[in-house]
Amino acid sequence: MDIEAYKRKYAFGEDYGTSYYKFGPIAEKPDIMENRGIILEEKSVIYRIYGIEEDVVVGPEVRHFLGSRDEMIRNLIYPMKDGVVKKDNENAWKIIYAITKRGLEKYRLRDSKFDGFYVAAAISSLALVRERHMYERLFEIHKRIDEETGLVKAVTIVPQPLAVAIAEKRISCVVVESGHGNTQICPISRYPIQEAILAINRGGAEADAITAEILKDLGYGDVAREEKVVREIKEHFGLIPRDLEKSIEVAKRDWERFRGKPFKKYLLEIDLGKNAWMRFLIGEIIFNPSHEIFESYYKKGMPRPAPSEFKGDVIEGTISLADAIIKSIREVSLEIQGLMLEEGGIILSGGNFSWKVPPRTEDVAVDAATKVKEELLKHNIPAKVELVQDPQYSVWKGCIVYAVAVPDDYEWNWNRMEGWYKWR
Amino acid sequence: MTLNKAKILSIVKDFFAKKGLRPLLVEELVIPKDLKPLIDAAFQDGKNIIVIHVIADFFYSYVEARNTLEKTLMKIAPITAFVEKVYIAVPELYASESILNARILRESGIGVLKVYEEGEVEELIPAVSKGGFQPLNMQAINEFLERIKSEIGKLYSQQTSILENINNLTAKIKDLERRIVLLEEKVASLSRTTVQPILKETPPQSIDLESSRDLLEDASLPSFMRNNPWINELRKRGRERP
Ligand SMILES: Nc1ncnc2c1ncn2[C@@H]1O[C@H](COP(=O)(O)OP(=O)(O)OP(=O)(O)O)[C@@H](O)[C@H]1O
Ligand SMILES: [Mg+2]
Repeated sequence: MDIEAYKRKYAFGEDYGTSYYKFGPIAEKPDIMENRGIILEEKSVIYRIYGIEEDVVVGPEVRHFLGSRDEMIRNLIYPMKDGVVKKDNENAWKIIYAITKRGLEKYRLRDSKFDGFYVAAAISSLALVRERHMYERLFEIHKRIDEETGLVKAVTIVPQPLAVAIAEKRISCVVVESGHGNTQICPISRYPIQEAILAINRGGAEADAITAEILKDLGYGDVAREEKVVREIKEHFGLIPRDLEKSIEVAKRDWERFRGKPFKKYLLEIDLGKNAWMRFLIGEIIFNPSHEIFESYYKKGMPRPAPSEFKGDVIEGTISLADAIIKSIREVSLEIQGLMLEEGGIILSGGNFSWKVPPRTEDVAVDAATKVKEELLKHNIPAKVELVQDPQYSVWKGCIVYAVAVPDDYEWNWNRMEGWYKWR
Repeated sequence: MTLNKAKILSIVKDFFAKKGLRPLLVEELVIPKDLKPLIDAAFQDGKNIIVIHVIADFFYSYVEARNTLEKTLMKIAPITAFVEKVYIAVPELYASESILNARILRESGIGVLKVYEEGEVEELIPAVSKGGFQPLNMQAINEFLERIKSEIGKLYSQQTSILENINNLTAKIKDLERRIVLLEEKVASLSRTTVQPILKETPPQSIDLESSRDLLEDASLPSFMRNNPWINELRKRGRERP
């Protein structure tokens, strides 16, 4: 088999997200695993029973190790924050290693021709601009896994927004990738335009936070402490308002129509009833967290998203999404701006944009693309805005295309930040 | 007076007490739980542990007595792995050659105490220590653990391979689903082209198209790869110098 055909057969995509790790060989959709783990304190019989050699537990088994709510909060480690793994956070890197190994091992092939995957891994574009150590660490991890298992023939790293542009078949466009922990705005024209990459430290987690506050106010304080359930409740109830004030007004008056189905899980049942208007707070915070309506929640202790940096300036974590997009696009030459906004358009991707518009709410609720489009129009910027088909999987799809297409003999180039990193 | 269990026990206890041995509680012994109920009395002689099992049943025939005793010996034989000496205490009536199975006694090392109604005890067959019970004990436990570990290991790898098989099957089903979708698309587009024979789509970029035609149009590839202009773009990477 010639090497390009081999690469095409054994391409493997990896998307490191703050909440989910998406991975797998060439297919329509990736496999998915929660990006979290437990580091066991000492070797116990449990290890042997589960056949665990390392002192790290990841994947579905994590659940077997969780007992009480307190224990869960104490022992679980989510290795990424705002899309990034900090350089000296050794425990976090241990978990990244274990998750990567687990993912690759799951797809080990018995095929006699198989000699390791061509792995394309996607990480935040922030790594490209500021956190280069992530490249080094991920290369090292893949090399180590290959030495232990023979599963990796070569590895490359792609910035997540670039992967989205690739998956969506746009050579020039503006990608807005919003996952659980961060939102990246990245104009692309064959390459990510590094000067224009703007990342903000917020994502689905902020919508979780407001959901938790709402739950506390409604008397579900202990539920509010369980991250995963809060996330499900958020996804169940959240709605994006076309215009916040107006939506709230309509939903307060006509609450039965906006109440939706109650959220049910085991012994828990939540019905918002007359508080159905709060559903719009959950959707709005993604786009306008600085709206005055959220002030009282910040005062009560809801964390404000951390500020970030862009071209030497401080960007407030609560900047509106439209303002952030505009700031980023300003850095692109006028000629390309036109190409991007009119032809390629703005592409929304990432789980944090997967909001649905339930029937009979269409008068005031909208999807993420409509919201962004209308917010930009308020600034007199007409743009084509689209939501990708599978918001959580687009990055991974781009990884697969990348692995198949980048030639095998192109060795990793630290100036251009592309090519294959090899050790064999 | 007949010899009941309590009587035999008290006779045996006197016998050992006179020899200067210290009585022990059965609960104190370090032996597997399920063996403990088989022990009626225990003594310590220096470093050695001696345990007694009392036979106090009434038998109607010699055959019955012999069979029951054999079974009892088999049951208590494992205790010899954990203590130095194991005895059975038998009323004089049954302490005869025709009832006691010499072979089993010899092989197991279990001794026999013959107990007389008058309160005397005769060491009919001395118990034979199997020697060094501590190492033997640990070794037995370790072997036992090893066996369990390897069993668990086997089960685990079986489970893994079952899971793998399920994964493979799921992947195959997914693949089939994809192919069906593709076929449906093809059928649909065929019926469209019969009405509208001219293909409207223009290839995204013409450079290098020849070599990548396979990749652009290969219907077995995932939908996001087909007609993807990035394939040509990325294939040139590393070829051009900036
Ligand atoms: N239907 C939905 N409605 C609203 N939010 C959703 C929906 N589905 C997923 N999400 C949210 O999307 C987020 C996960 O998305 P994604 O997998 O893209 O993030 P990630 O890759 O783990 O994080 P990041 O890219 O920030 O590092 C979670 O906050 C989740 O609650
Ligand atoms: Mg992500």
